[in-house]
Amino acid sequence: MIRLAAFACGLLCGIGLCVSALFQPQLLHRFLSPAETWDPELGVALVAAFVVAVLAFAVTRRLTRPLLGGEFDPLSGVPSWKWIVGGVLFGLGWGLAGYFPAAALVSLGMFAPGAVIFLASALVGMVLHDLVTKRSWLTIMGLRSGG
Amino acid sequence: MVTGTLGQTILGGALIGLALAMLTILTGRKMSASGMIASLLDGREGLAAPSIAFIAGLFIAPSILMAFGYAQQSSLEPGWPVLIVGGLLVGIGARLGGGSLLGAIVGLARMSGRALAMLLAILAGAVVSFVLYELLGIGGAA
Repeated sequence: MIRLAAFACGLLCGIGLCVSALFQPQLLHRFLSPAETWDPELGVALVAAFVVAVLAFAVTRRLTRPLLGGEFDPLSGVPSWKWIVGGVLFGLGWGLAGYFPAAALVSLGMFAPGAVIFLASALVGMVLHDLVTKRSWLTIMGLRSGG
Repeated sequence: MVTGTLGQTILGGALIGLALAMLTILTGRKMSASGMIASLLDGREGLAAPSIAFIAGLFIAPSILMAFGYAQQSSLEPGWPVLIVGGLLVGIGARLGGGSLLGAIVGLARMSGRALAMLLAILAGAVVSFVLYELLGIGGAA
């Protein structure tokens, strides 16, 4: 049931990315471009997503557990410089490639060749990060739990 | 609005917000795509995990839309060197910061300070990237 719900949410999110064209790599540059080429599409879509999410969480704010059981993922944790550095790196990459992971996954569903390159590179980036933060290869490959 | 109408943009954005909020409300997960990929990489979840289901949903969405006759625009991509460098940075950043763009948007909707910090940092990085692009003529997602 949880898997079905996750699939449905992924599908809905993907449809939203298609309909809003948020998956398009050039949207970010259009949003950041000043003057005559300025295109607010990216901002409009993200604000709409934010507003609807706020409403959805407001309606369900009395929930102490997810509807399908389990626990809510913890929200914040101890503030860390990693949030800022990680965010800036993410933003630099997004600004260059135009893709963020969800957008690339949707584009992969359209068999866009660049999405394959981007996602493969993102995977390599994740593994690199894990290597540097002293996790063993075995853990990274999922062959051993813990780490 | 070069790529769509204002109504499509708002509707699509609303669907994204609804989908990610429902993911948390139903399953308790707050992750978006990068976190899902990362949790698979961790080996914390098996192949039948909700993460796979979510990613599969994203992947199948364009095909479903096309099956219902929705005229899908194709993805206009920059060159592969830019995609490789951008992908590496996004991968490292998502793992280090423990989040991503959509994750930050939805986290912010739950008044998470972390999400706010991530979102501002992501936007700052994107602006720096854009300026570099404008100055040096690198990048290709114009």
